Amino acid sequence: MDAFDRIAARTPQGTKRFVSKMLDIADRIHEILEAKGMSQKDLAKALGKSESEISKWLSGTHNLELKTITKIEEALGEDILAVVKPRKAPHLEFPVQEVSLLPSLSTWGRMDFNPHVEEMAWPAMTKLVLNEFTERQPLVKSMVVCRFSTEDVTFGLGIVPKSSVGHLQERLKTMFSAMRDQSQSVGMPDDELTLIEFGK
Amino acid sequence: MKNFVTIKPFKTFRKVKYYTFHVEERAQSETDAFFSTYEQVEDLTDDLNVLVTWMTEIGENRGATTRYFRPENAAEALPPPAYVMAELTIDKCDLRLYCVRLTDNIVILANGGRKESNAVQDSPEALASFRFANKMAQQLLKHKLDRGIDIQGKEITNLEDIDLWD
Repeated sequence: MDAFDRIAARTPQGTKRFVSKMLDIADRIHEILEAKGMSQKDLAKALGKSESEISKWLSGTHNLELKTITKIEEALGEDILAVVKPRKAPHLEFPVQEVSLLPSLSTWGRMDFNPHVEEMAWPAMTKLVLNEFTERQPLVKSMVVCRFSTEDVTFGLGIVPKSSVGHLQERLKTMFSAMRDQSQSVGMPDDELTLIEFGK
Repeated sequence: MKNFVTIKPFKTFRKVKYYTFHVEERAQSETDAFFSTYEQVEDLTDDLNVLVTWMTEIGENRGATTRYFRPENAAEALPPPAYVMAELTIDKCDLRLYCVRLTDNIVILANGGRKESNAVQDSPEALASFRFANKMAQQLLKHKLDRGIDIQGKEITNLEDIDLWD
């Protein structure tokens, strides 16, 4: 191990992360400028700054303040920073009337699958329902247990906020329509998708 | 008396290969000498950590684009991370590592030193390295124009044909 490697090994993770983030920001600004056909001079003009100041900002060695980054975002009309928002874990407290239905239906149960539809539809539909559930559940009081079905095939069950039932139904229709377009082997009936609500 | 200088591989990363200059009859390459000299200097610990991180980050993930380097006449310097240092609550960073950037994938590192004044001419420790790097950069440019430097990706394929003198 030579001196370079020893220095790399002793460097704290915080330093590595800091350098990487600064370069990420500088690179992102460059990328937007290039995509928009703008120069550093254009950006300097838009921000009322000197070109040398902008050059320093974009070197990757300057620690930009959040306020400055926001101004650059405004001038460029694009986001530079994105904040990771943690997903909320499912909250499994249901109103009494829904809970009473669960033993017979199971929380995320399924039944009567059309075998041609099942393989493709179930993972996507489960994800869709779970997303609806986890994103909106904390904001609504009324949950309903739904059965998603066509005329003769039930392809899934889910618990969703009552307020998002209509929205979800539209998204399911779009999803299955896309699946039919992609594969002729999907034996989806063309019947109107219906949604039966339990526990109103 | 002039000394013959060769170019040798120093570190290879995914996007950049760093080479170094080795002056004939010296025990270490210029860049090995730089890191060995400053590795244990306590007040330069953070400066060196950032410098090595910077080189690794550029080498592994980004490529050696011009804007990551500081122009130093015919040569360049790897970040003298002065602004970085300031933000890491270190008031001042005087360290410079001089180099010659050939392409986005190839950088030849020289030596460096503390730059303790605005003008490098007033910083004896950095001045010798600054001059050496510029001398190499000028010779490489001449060689490139006269005979060409063969490059494939991040490899210089005709190293043995490149004659450099200190």
